[in-house]
Amino acid sequence: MGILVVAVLAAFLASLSIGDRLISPIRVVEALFETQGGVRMVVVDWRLPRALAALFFGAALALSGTVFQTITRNPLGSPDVVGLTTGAYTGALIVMTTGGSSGVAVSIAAILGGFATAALVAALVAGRGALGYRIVIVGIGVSAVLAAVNAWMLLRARLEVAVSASIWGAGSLNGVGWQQALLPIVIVSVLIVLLALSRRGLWLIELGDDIGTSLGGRINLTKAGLVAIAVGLCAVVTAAIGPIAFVALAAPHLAKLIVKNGPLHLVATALTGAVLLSAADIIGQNAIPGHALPVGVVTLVLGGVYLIFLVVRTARQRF
Amino acid sequence: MTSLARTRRDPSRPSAGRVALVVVLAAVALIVAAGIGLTVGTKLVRIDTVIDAIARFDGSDLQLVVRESRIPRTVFGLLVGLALGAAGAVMQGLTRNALADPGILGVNAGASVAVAIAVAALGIHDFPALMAAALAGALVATIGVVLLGSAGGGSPVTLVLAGVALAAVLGGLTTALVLLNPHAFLQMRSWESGALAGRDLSILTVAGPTIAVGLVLALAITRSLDVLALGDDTAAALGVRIGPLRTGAVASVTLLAGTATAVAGPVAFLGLAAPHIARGIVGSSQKAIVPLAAVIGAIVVVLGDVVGRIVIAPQEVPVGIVMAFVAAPFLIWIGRRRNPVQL
Repeated sequence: MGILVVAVLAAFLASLSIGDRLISPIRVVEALFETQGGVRMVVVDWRLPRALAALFFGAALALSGTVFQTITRNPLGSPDVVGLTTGAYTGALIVMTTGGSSGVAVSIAAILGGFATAALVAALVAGRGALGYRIVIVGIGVSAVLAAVNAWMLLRARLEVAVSASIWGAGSLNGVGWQQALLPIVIVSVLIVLLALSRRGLWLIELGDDIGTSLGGRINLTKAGLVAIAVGLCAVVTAAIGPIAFVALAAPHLAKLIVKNGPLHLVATALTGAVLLSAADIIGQNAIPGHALPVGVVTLVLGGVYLIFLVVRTARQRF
Repeated sequence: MTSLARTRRDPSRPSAGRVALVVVLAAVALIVAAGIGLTVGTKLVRIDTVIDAIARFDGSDLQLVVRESRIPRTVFGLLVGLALGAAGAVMQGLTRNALADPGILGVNAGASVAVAIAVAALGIHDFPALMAAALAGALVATIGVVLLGSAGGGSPVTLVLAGVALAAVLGGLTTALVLLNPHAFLQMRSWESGALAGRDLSILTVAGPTIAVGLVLALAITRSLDVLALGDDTAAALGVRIGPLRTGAVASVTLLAGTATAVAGPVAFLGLAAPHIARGIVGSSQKAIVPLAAVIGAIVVVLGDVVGRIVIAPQEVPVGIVMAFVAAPFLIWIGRRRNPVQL
């Protein structure tokens, strides 16, 4: 656990120090407490919102992932795999390509898109038996249809809209300032607090529906509430910075390596997600000199490699 | 009476009469589809105008539309459909997995990323070189996904998940390359969603033979694939050499899916849907499924292209997007079945 806290601090400091202009970590800490000056402007006004956004959004995605994985009882049942982020992107694109440019409208559309997709996938697998990977397969199918819708909308859009929508669609923290970051960070924090308050419900679900019910949990109600929180977390992040792949999938697994179970697992998951997204963003900004890669592309490639590893390893253990 | 009852119970052995009927119907449907592809669009063209355009070209606008647009699109639609339908059937037979599809398992994504590298990093634009790149990418991805599947203990679900992950990684790389290079973004934008428009008939000299070889290879291994359905060990005991069979199947899928991707961009889910439709018609024999899936694929792509032409005319929906609408629901349908991965 201590390792994770150190890692979060290190990632935070690193994302404040590294950039077009390197600023030593000591100077960064000084600048945080200054009231004026050029260094303060770079650190507090430019880099701090982005660094905080990476931490909070990473934590939000990770928690969203762990709730989904617990409820679907499937290590792969994370919101990005079952198409929620694609659906949120669809919602955002509908607004973007019909001339809506206000950030609020795009965000609301993205959140609605996420919820609608969750409802669709849930309806399609309802009453078909609790086969673990059914939701994954159906989710991939839904995701594919939505991806086609997205591609179609991008093709019909004007080129400027298409380019900016594609960059947003890759998932990017570029250009995130206080104005863009503050509201989503507040919403995400509220949702995280709500999740922490309902952690008992998550624990009951983990025990299984029967035991959970006999311990006095109203399982279906609890599930609905938790899913709403998890979809909210994932959709708010997608609305703010675009679809980010695989953080929600990988963070809960990686956190298990450090804290096996219990309430601390949630904390560890959140911290892991925060570190992952920050680190991915630092890599994206600096991997290719002169070009800033969207953080979503970095998580997609690194997370995909991790997913392959995970799939192969899980299968080996089972057979 | 008994023979009829047996036919019903054992659909893997359709009667000779039924096979003949299916062949005739498929051929008729294919011809009708091609006819629709040549005549229907934003402008309706009479079939005798089409024939005149080929036989007695007089330079009129309508004949020009037929020669420059309708004929190439229909020909490439047929080719791409044949290739992807057969490739999907071979992949499903080889992996014994109902969810196998060159799109889902990342083969098309492999071809795409290779094309993106060729366009964005190397500045290549001529078709033969792009097709070579697509084939190389498809080969690497096919081998990769087969290796991953067997590294995962040969479980069908594992294979699909590994393929999806592979497709995601390759897709991410393509996105990165394209975003870093605005010029490539423009060039890849329509190609990436799978389009038949604007392809010159001259590339047929390169794409045609490759797909033909892939199809012959696919048909040649159907018998072994049928035996493989009994399991690796049984198949080996019955005299099927597993190694050469795998190599042949991988080569066939590479040629078919790689070329199809080079021509039309990554078209997913057709390779999933066509073999399932074929299986519903002729039962579980690969010998019948592979050719029928190819023909069904061709029909679906040509008709899908027509739909894409007229649905929001004068604009067009690329055929790859139409295919995702038509065929991706198959994945949802399969996912809802009792046992999603069994053939």
